[in-house]
Parts: sequence; C-alpha cells; structure tokens
Amino acid sequence: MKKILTVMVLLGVFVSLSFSVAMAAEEAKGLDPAVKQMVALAAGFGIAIAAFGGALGQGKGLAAALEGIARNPGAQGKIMTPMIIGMALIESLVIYSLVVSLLLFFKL
Amino acid sequence: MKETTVSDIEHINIAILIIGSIVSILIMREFKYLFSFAVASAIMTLNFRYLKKIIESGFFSSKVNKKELLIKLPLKFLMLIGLVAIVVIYGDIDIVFFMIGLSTVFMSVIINQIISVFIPAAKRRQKDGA
Repeated sequence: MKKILTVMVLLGVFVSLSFSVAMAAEEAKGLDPAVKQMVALAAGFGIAIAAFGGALGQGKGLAAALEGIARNPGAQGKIMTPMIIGMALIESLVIYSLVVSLLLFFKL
Repeated sequence: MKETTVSDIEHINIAILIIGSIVSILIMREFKYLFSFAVASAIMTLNFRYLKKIIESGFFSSKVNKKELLIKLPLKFLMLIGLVAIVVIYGDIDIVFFMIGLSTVFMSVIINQIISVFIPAAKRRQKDGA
C-alpha cells in the first residue's frame, strides 16, 4: 500500500513538473514567462493533489461500505445512500479543482 | 429523523436546477449567467443520477456484472471531465455562477437534512393533536 502511495505521489509530481515545463516552452502571451511557469505549476499541482485526495477518500469510503455490506447484508440499503452521497461530494470537490486548474491554464 | 433517500436528493437537485436558473436570469438579466448555472447544475445532477444507477446495478442487483461496472464507472467519470473541460475552455461562462451550479449536490444534501430535521417534528405534532 505504501509503495503504491509513493509511486502515485511521485507520478503526480512528475506530471506537474512536465506540465510546467511544457507550458514554459510555449510562447508567453501577455504574461511574464516566469509568472506563466508558476501558473502552470499551480494548475498541475492543484489537480494532482485534488485527484490524489479524492481517489484516496473514495477508495476508503467504498472499501468501508463494501466491508460493512459483506458483514451485514441486511444493512445494504442503509449503507448505500450515504456512500453514494459521499462519493458524489468527493467527486464534485475534485471537479472544483479541475475547473480552477483549467481556468488557470487556458484563460490566464 | 426521517431517513434520507437518494431519490429525495435527486428531486431537490432538479428543483435547485430549475429555481436557480430562474433566479439567475431574473437577477442578472443576461444569458451568460443562466447558461453557466444551468449547465453546471445539470452536469452535477446527471452525474449524481448516473452514479446512483451504476452503483445500484453494479453492486446491489441480483446479477452483478463486473465487466459492465468496470466500463461504466470510468466512462461516466471521463464524460464528466470532458463535459466540464469543454464548457470551461470553449464556453462563454461566468465562473462564479458555474461554481454555484457545481455545488448543487452540496446544497441539496444540506436542504434535505434541514427538511428531514424539521418535517417529522411537525408531523409528530399533528399526530399528537398539539
């Protein structure tokens, strides 16, 4: 589990860095290149951290819910509702981050 | 306290979508704001609906089809991301209204909890004749 987490964090960092390098390679439109580079870094890190946290939260929630249902199948109906609500809420938080990152990357 | 059901939240989602769209066009009087709110709210409402359908059919039906679940769940997520990206990149949106629209599920959960706290007490009082 720890190895997978480490690999995921490193992957996120590399993706963010590659994002910023690719961005820095582009011609700066209006903004200072250094600012543009920082914006790209922020966008990359923002979505990477949000996706990491969201995935971790959803995984934990789903695992706990399924474990609960496996132990007590009679409680399936009661467990399912909060689980679906929780998953939707976590997903919408990640979408917030995606919107902010897209705005930073394309509109700034 | 009344037990929360997923379909209750879906109904509140749709109500927020309709009321919010009307309020945004009435207050701002510009199509841009209505579009931003309505699209974001519709995306989140549909996302919630499909999430419920996929999880119900994938985990809790008598015939569990793992392949279907493995395809549908990531596909739904990709569609959601694609839709949001297209709207944000190419659409003429107001970001504040777009974010409020994305918070539809949060709002409906809060409203549902408020309703479930207050309505049963009123019903109890009616039954007691108070």
